Amino acid sequence: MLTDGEKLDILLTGVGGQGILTSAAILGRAAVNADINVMGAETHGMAQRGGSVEVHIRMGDVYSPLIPVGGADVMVSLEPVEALRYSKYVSEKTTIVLNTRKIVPLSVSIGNAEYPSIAKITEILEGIGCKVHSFDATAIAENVAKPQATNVVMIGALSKVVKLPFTFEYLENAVKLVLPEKLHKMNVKALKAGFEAF
Amino acid sequence: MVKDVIMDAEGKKVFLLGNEAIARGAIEAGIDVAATYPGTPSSEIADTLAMVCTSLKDKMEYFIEYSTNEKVAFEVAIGASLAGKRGMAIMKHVGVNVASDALLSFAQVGARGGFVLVSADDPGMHSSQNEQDNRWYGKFAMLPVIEPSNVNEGKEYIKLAFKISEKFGLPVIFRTVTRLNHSRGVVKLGKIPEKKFEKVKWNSSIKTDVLLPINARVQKTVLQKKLAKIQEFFSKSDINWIENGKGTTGVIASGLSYAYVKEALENLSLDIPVLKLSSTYPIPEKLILEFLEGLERVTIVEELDPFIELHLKALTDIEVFGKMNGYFPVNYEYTTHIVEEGIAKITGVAASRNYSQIIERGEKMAQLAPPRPPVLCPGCPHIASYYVIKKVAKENGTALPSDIGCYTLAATKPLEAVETCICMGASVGVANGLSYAVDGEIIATIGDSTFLHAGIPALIDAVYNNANFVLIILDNNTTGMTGHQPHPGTGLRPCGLKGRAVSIEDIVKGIGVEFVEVVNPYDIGKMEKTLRKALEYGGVAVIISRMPCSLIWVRQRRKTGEKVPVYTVTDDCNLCMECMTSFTCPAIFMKEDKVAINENMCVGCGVCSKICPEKAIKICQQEICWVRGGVCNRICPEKAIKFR
Repeated sequence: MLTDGEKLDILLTGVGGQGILTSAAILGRAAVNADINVMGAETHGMAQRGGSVEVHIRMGDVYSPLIPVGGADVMVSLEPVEALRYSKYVSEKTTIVLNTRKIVPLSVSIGNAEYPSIAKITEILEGIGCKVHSFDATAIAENVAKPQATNVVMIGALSKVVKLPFTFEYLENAVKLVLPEKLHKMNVKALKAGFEAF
Repeated sequence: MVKDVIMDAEGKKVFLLGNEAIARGAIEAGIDVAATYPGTPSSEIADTLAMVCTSLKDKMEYFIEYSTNEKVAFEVAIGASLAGKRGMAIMKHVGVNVASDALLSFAQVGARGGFVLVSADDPGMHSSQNEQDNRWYGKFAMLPVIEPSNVNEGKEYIKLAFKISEKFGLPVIFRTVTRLNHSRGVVKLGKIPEKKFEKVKWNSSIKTDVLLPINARVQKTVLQKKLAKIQEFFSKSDINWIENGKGTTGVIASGLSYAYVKEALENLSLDIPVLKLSSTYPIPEKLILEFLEGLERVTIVEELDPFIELHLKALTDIEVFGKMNGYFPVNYEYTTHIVEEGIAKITGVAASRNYSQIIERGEKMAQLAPPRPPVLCPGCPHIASYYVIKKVAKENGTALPSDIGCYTLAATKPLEAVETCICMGASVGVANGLSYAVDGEIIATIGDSTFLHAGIPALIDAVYNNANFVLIILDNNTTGMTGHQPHPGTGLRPCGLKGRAVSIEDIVKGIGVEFVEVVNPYDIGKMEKTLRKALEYGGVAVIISRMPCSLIWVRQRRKTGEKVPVYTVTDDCNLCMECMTSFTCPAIFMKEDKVAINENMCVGCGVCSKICPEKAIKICQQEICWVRGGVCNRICPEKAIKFR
């Protein structure tokens, strides 16, 4: 639980279509069910598909839906370079959960830009002082479910490396509340696999 | 979540999107008729009402329609209000420009049934062509403006807006911003009223409703009197409140800025007086003067224009800190750090973090991330249309005016086939003007929904004035960018109601256009031939480029079990890069040194196979590849199969 005046700011980043809004909905639902104040800010509209996406989830004693720059307690990045793109939100106190599976943007494919190596990305983030937990979440999702469940694997991993203000059962329950029934089994598996990855 | 919006559990706390909360508020208010034209960030309000209305049948009945444009939506809500029903018009900020003709006059007529206009402003222009502050419409039309500052207020204040509208007989402007529409928060559910929709007898009121000059002169003064009463009301209303604090510097904050102020003051450990304003027009002067008593200086925190600031300067001569003396920015949306830095500077307290240093470091790191702008989807028929347009235009030095929709993304590299985007329907009007002014050819593009919204009058103008251009109507049978809402061309209506499809080709022919051809853009060869023919025609030529939005096409085929072929790049590829540098399907990418197709993203449109000069892109031939399941994945030589 969070005590008075405490908060937990989680920034979720990735690429449109990766199910980041669903991850945020799961975290939000778990918090509401645990009677914790929660707010979020989402990206909709023009940037929905294929573009870069950031979603803010704030728990505890907060007023505004946006995490202040340098204020993220945790960053969950479903795509490696997206962690760099939103690094203005991190500080030396930030824990980062990083999926190492790349989604190469067109700018790189046609030779207009370079995709930095995972080692370089980790080095830069650690250079600030962030604690980086990286793993191939998509491989785990492919293994236990489908690649589309990467978002839920990431939430599972998050719940292991960071102390969330509710138990794992709340997350499991939230997965079931947020997703349609036919996807429950697969996603609960993904959630557990993510938790066990660390 | 949508299922929480209809949950009949008074007092329960749920986690809703701002727009879902506003929809729930409308339901708790017992709305009768809601009308919209979709536009980010407003779209999910009407979409939610459309999704849940069937479930609320026999319990809380209402009508919701996707109107042809915002002006029509506004007028539909007027009709409901004049009949004594509760009407709601929902639109984005620029939509209010379209509806403004009706808005300014209806203000004088006044509302009978409650009337709320939801105006969703977009500070920061996340998904808009401009950044206007629609509170001015309150002042302009002499109508009250209410602004919520969090998701729960979004729900509660909609109910209040209907009450105020009925109490004072005026339409109410409910102004939101993107960060409220698209933020999530905890909402405490209220009661859903029991209501069967029953039609009423029409009672005419010619003196108020017919704005002949003789009536309008009277109604203008009636409006002024109503507004003065509302101003009094707002000074006493509990949606505006004073939070006591120490010192002689106070803060006035409205809308979401209030949330940033609360957070900034906490970060700064400051305990100073705050006035929270949820009604920003008419400004509650009495309350403000009461707040200013004993203060020497006041800070105004509001997004976009210095609206309250200007009013305050007219009201008192107290020292004011705001946008006009540079303490806060006039452009883009606010965040906690912007507000914190402003207040820190005014009060002489140090900010809680070195924000500029953090931002500078972050920006430097972000530069290492390759750009990832939003793109047209795999299989998007617009990619095919613009590929052809670009090919033909490259040879001709053609002008390419365009419009508002997903296809505006074709302005970016490598297509660069959209050369103007101004407002809904402008492509056609601008093409008319270009037709007078430029000596080259003109190919205008407009979406189906946009054409019906505002393209038709301009096309009439083109026929009437003998303009000379080709108009390509990109008909993907939906309103794509805003989330697949229906429009008159689809004939689909929400809530299981029967609709009738309006034929775009019949409209075009009815206007008098003689060259009208319908082409599937996936047929690249035919598309090119038709475009060349249209350019040679001389006069107004219309091509309807028709293929459903690829996202819908995929969904439909999945539903019916139709096979979706997967394309693959064979060894015949000589790396000419045409498919990546001229054609821009996001499913095509470089896998080490080879061009490859992402089998999870490919929707099987096959356009890449047609444009490939080496004919190196083919359907993965193994029939078994199309079988769903795990076995094929292991045996497919192209590794072309993945779970979908």
